[in-house]
Order: sequence, then C-alpha cells, then structure tokens
Amino acid sequence: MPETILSKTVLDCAKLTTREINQQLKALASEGIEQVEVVNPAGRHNLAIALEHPITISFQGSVGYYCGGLCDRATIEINGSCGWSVGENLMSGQITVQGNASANAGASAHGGKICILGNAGPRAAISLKGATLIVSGNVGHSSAFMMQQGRFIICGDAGENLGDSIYDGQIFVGGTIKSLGADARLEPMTAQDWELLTQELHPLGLDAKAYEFKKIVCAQELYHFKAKDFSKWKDAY
Amino acid sequence: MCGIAGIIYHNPASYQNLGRDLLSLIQPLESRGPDSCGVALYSDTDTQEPGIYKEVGAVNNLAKKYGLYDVSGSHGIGHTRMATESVVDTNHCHPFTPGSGLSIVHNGQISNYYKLRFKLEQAGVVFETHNDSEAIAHYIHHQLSLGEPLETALEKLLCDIDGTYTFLVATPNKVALVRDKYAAKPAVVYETAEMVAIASEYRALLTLPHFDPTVPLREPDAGEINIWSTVAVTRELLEARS
Repeated sequence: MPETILSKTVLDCAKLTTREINQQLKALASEGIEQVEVVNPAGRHNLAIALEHPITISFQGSVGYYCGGLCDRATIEINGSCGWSVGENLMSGQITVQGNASANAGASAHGGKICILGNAGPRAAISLKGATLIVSGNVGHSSAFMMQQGRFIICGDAGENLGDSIYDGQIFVGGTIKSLGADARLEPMTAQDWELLTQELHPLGLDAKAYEFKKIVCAQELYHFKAKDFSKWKDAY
Repeated sequence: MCGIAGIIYHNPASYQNLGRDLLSLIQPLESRGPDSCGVALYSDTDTQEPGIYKEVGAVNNLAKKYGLYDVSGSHGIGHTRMATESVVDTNHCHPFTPGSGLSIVHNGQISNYYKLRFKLEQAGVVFETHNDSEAIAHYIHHQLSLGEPLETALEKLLCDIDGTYTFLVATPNKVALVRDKYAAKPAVVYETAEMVAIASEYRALLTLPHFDPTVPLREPDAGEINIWSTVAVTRELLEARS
C-alpha cells in the first residue's frame, strides 16, 4: 500500500549524532508520523529519549544504555539486545526487546510496559514505580530492589535477593528463585493473578499455564522499623 | 567511569592482529575515559614481560606514536581512563605492572584502598602511585608470590577487596576477567573459535575487524571470575616450531 510507504520514515544513525537522532524523532512524533525505522543503532546510548507523542519506532539492531527512557505514549521495538537501564523512568507506552537486556531494565519506570523477550541482567525493575516489566527469560541478582508499584513478571529464574526492600507491587516468577531479599515474601496465587498473567503473556506468544508461577509481595515488616528488630533488615542489600 | 578491553587468541594465525584488534576495542571506549589510555601487549616471543604503552591523551595518538597497530602477540589488555581519585599523569595510567609479567586494567573504585595498601605495605610491597587500581595489581602479585595460583588469588580478592570493580588481569599465559559481587561495572564477552574479546560496552565490539554479529554475547555475572589460558595455544605453537 503506498500510504504505508509514505507514512514510514527511515533514520540512519550512522549519519547523525545522538542529539540529532533524538531531535528528529521528537520532530517526527510531534508532526504525527506514525512509524519510524531506525537503522544502524550500533549499540549507541540514549536513543529515543523523552518522546512526548505517540509514535512507533523500530530499531534494527542492538542499542546501548537508557533506550526509550522517559518516553510518554511511544511504542518502541528493539530488534536486538539492549544495554543498561532500558525504559528508565518510562511514563507510558510500550518497549519490546527482541533479545537480552543488561542491568537495571525498567529502572524507576512509572507506567507503560517493557517486554524483554530474553534474559535481563542484575537489578531489573529496580525501584519500579508503576510500570509492568515482563521478562520471558531469567533475571539477575537484586531484581525489584526497592520496588514501589507495578508488576514484574519473570517467566524464568530469578537471582539472589529478589525484591529486597520492596515497598509494594507484585512480582511473579515462573521458574526458581535463588533467594528473596529482606521484607519480600511469597503469597499464594489467586485465580485473578492467573487471569492477569494470561492477559499479559498471551500477546507475547507465551502461555502462563506453562509456568509454575509464584507470587512475591512486600511482607511490610520494615514499614515501621524498630531498632530491636535489627534482624529484619541486617541482611538487606 | 573507565573503559577496559582485552583480546586473547585461540589461533596463533591471528597473533599478527593483536595491536590492531586491541586498539579497535579501546578506541570507542575513549568516551568512558578521555583522560589517558594504555595497553599491555604480550608478544609471542620468549619474553615474559608485556610491552606497556600508556600516557595522557587520545588512543590514536598513543597508537601512532609507538606504532602499536602493527604489534603482534598472543593476548593483551587495554584501558581508557577517567580519573576519579588520583592525578592524571603517565604514572597513574593503566595498565599497572607489579612485576612477574603481570598487568591489570580496572574500572571502578576500591573503597577499602587505604587499609588494603597499609596491609600490603606491611608485607613489604612498595607502592609507586596513589591510584587505587595499583592496589589490585599488588594484591594479586603478592598472592602469586606467596605461591597461590591465579584462580585462588582472585577468589581471595573477591572477599578482601571492597568497592566496585570490573578488571582484567593478564599474565604471560592467562587473562582473567573479574566482576565484583554487585556487578556494578559493565563487561561484555565475545568468544569465537578464533578469539576472545572483552570490552566494557557492546558498541566497542562492533569496531572489531571480522566481528560476527551472530555470535551470542555474554555478560559475566556478579562475583564471577573468568580465566582464559593461552598455554594450550602456546604449546601447540612451540610444537609446530620444533
């Protein structure tokens, strides 16, 4: 369809500075361009940062640190892996990574959805503030550290100190958990939880029932800390 | 922030590429460490000591000044520095070489540096700079001089050295990559039948000549020690020569 070709724009990172790429993406988004393909990202940091209008961006290759950070309503697909802090402080919209993510995936993300169709490194969902982070593979140690709100769905295994110093929110793990952090506890899965997982995973081609999901929430034992309860937090990260 | 990189060849036919490959790796890492740079290149000759080239300034200047693109060897490590706790001069650049053919490049900060230095000085170690990374070099060298194998020395180091560190240590026949227990500093490993390339960031690997994008990359876990040996390769080379 000619319309499809006309509304699709291609940006070549090899010819532009990072600032120019972000300025052009912002300009295209505010002009109402629906779809942009970004080629040759070559692991560059800070791509597609703080876009404030709906736009669909497809990165052809792996990206560096902070990809899609602070975005509001953008849809970003990364056809490759990503570096540290993908979707950091995401406000809304969706980021899908067709590969692995390094450390701090979804750090402090307020809203929207981040899907890692691979493994994520340490500290995934650190300080998550309301977004949904889905990892189809495993996550590293100290994931969901100081998580505050939102949902963190891990289909594979979780590393040490999962949910350490968690305030609120829900973590679901389909595989094994190496250890829980301070103030994180297991809670029985409900029919509602399974419904939620099915809803979230189905669009990614994943069957929630194929995993033995466990639910982790905050034990709330550190909400009102007293010095005599030192043992409750002495092993905190 | 600093940049570290390393190259180990499995195939002696690639030895001629060492200078070119290692400098390709650290060039893009200049943005992580614009102050100074340095490399330790282990040649395939009988000498045990690596060639150390380091100074304040850009990677390209260092490479051109000493003709490093043409240096051959079995393995090497490199560094780009962003100074955080000591002066910027040639002595404080990486790699650090405490002796016995050992060299290290480090990204991070050692938080128990003064205590560590005091202990090592009590054991007779002489420090030449105020760079905390030098303490890592001396610590490993000291452990080796006590008769510990490199593997044990590095396991002990993970307990004894606090702070954030991802570092590479090279000996005349080994290269090791160590990450602290928080995995606070980055590293990416690219391994093929021909070679191992290690860099702080993925984008540095892309500049490697003959980089194969289909090879899965690996990030070492927190507290993980990786050691690659060049002994098997060297032995094969010696047999081929004799």
